[in-house]
Amino acid sequence: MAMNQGHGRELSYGGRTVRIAEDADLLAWARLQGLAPWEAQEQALEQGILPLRYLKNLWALSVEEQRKLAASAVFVCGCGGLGGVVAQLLARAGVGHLILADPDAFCPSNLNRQWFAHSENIGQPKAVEAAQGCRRINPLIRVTAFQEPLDSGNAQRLLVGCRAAVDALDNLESRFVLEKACRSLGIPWVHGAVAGWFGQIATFLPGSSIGLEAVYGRRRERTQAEQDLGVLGPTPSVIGSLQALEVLRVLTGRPPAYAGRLLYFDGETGASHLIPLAET
Amino acid sequence: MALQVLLAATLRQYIPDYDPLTGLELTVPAGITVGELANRLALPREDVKLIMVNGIAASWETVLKGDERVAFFPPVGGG
Repeated sequence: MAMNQGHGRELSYGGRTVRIAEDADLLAWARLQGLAPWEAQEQALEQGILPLRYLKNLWALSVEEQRKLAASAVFVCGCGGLGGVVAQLLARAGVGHLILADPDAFCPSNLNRQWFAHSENIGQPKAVEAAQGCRRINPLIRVTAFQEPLDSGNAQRLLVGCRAAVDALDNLESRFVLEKACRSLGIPWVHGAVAGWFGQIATFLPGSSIGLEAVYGRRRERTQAEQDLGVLGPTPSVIGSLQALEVLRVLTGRPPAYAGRLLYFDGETGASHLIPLAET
Repeated sequence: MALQVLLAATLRQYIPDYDPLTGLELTVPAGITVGELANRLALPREDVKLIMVNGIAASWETVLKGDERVAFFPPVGGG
């Protein structure tokens, strides 16, 4: 039996009526129909039925925009400080398929900032732990973990079908690998980077002549001085949150806020600066 | 009016007692370029990629009158 308007119940929210369904009912219905939970979520939203867990997304998002999120796949490259924040926020928002990649395992020095690291999973692979965490947060979405670095050999397999990619990496060389992959597959990508009290975000569109070299020039390695700034926990949380917002804008068809410009966040003074990026 | 220079991240360590809230005030001759200003302050050019003058993107060749607000941003790369 297809999901229809007979399912769920009506609720008045923000002066409008919306049909909602609870997780347990959606999951039970999915089992009955032999569907994966994310398929059930998509079908419900196609019928205008909103999973109750997304109620507070209204009316910042419409039910139709929520459906767009459910129908979208996003690649999150890196599951550490930035990626953990992005993955968690996109899972909560209801993005239908998260593809998480990170070759590393959690270590004790990750604990000050990486949301999926805790005292009992040190030594465990970040991508797998982040995926499990996302599934626990939201069983209605699909999460795929890859415990491998992105390279030209696997880019196609990891990124195919994605509507957006998130650069949540911690080194320059891999960021340029992601740029190349996104350009060749025609996927917009949202770059984020942090050090100490500082962070930056920029969005790159595959057809634009503005690329990562506008930010880093020919440099492919972080300077020792920059690495010595460390990373404070709130900094990647701020930048990762801005990256997640940008992804939501892209997936819902709104104009990206950081295409062709870089937001530089100075946590020491609280100031942020929008810097136009030049073609390279 | 003096020139105001704002530095971010690693650049702050090159100026002793740099106050991130107020930046650095200094007097420079009119016609100086952003690159010459960076040399005067002994800022390593290779660390800086993004420059703004009065909120507008600028380059090493941008010529200053001497009363602008010049901001240097070294890109960061961690995650």
